[in-house]
Amino acid sequence: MIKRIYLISKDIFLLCLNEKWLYGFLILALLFISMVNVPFWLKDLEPFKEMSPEKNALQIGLFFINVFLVLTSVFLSVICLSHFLSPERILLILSKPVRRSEYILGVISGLYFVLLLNWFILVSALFFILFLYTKHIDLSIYLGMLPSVLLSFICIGLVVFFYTIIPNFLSGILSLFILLSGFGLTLEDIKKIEHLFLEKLIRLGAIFLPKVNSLFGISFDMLKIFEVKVNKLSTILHTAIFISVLNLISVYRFKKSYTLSVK
Amino acid sequence: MSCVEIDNLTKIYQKSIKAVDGLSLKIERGEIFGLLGPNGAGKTSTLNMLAGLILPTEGKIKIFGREIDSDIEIKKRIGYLPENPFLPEYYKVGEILNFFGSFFGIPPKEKNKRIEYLLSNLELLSKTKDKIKNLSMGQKRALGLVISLIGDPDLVLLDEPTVYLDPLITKSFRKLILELKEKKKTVIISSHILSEIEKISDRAGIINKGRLTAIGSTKELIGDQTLDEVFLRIIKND
Repeated sequence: MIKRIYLISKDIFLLCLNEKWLYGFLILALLFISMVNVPFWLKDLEPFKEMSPEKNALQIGLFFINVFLVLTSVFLSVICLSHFLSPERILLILSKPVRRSEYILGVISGLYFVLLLNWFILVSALFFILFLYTKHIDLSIYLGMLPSVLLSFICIGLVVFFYTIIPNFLSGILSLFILLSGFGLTLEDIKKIEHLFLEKLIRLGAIFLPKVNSLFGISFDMLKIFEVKVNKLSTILHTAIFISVLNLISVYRFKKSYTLSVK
Repeated sequence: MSCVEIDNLTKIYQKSIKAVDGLSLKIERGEIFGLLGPNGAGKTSTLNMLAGLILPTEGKIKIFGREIDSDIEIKKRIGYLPENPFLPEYYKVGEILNFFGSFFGIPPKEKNKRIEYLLSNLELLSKTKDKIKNLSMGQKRALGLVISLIGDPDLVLLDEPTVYLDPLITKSFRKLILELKEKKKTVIISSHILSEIEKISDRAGIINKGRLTAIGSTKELIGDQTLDEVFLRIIKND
């Protein structure tokens, strides 16, 4: 089973290597990340005086890495799914000894791998620029940037989930919408909502949404940019459960939906 | 025990479009069976159900005495060439065969031997290192055929296998199918090219509007006529 999932994910990786826009997008992201030079060049400027140049640089880096990873995961997932869930491709691969669940799990893990590689390249670029200025090897940057991986995994999970319902680009838009909702209310705000039925429903939905704010909080705390009080374990667990449940639903839907294969 | 047993097979799409209508059929081991029918007769749907790619609305399919569904062990014994096989163009010929061969768990040495044998039989050996996007339509079709045979299947399902093939590859294809018969493999071919079916199949069935309208040995079906004439007569009368 693992071997078959690995084969499918390798196929996704090969497809991504042939997607030229992905290289363009990565170069664009690297260009934006190179803006972390600015706090070092203009450290005497008023807006940069509040914090050390390293902290300012980390903030800029964190922002661009997250923006580009989210956009890459949404675009990449929609494009890969349009290839991999096309009836012709499904017909050829599923006629081989591959289970439907293995196929979709292979697609998801392939996307994870590509995003992980993207994350590694972007964080390494940030690490390299900081090293040029500080001459200090600080590997904790990688650890502090790990919540960004979770964020992009949420995006992939959401796109795959929506793609099994609406197999087109709308799945990407809906995923971004859900992700943005995750920025919304904090638990304290939710508790203040009056107990009307609709509000209760919103409250319930908001509890299940991925805690994007808290994920950023973890990064801020671990990168020592700000001291943020976040329950790291519960946020990571919540995110991991959210991703797993989403993926399990997608696998179940794909397994049951034989209409996806051929009409 | 028959290799393939189909009982009252029915497939209805979108609650009203009946693609296959109560099809019952038995195909023995080592037999080459031709599935004939006009466009939209239900041939591809039947083959897709045999390959376990779509579920029947009604009826049962038994392959090697077992119901198919998502059984990996049965799938290992089936080779399927879809009507329009999708071949990812970023692969080289050798790479894609390696990729598909890996699903069958064949030892690497045996897999390479098999790939070489099939490629040389279908005049593709010189193309091993070529990108798929540089192949002609006929060569892509032949490659699809190689992919369907890579796992050394006991049951081979071929949907329009000779479309786009040039006469040289068609001849090699015919030889390959007859070799499969010698090895007691079962082959089901759906084709519009009736002369091809006439040349290689032991038995043939004619499907029209999802129903089996005629079945028998190719010789019995043809009599003094050609298969083209028999086919047209049956379709017109139905």
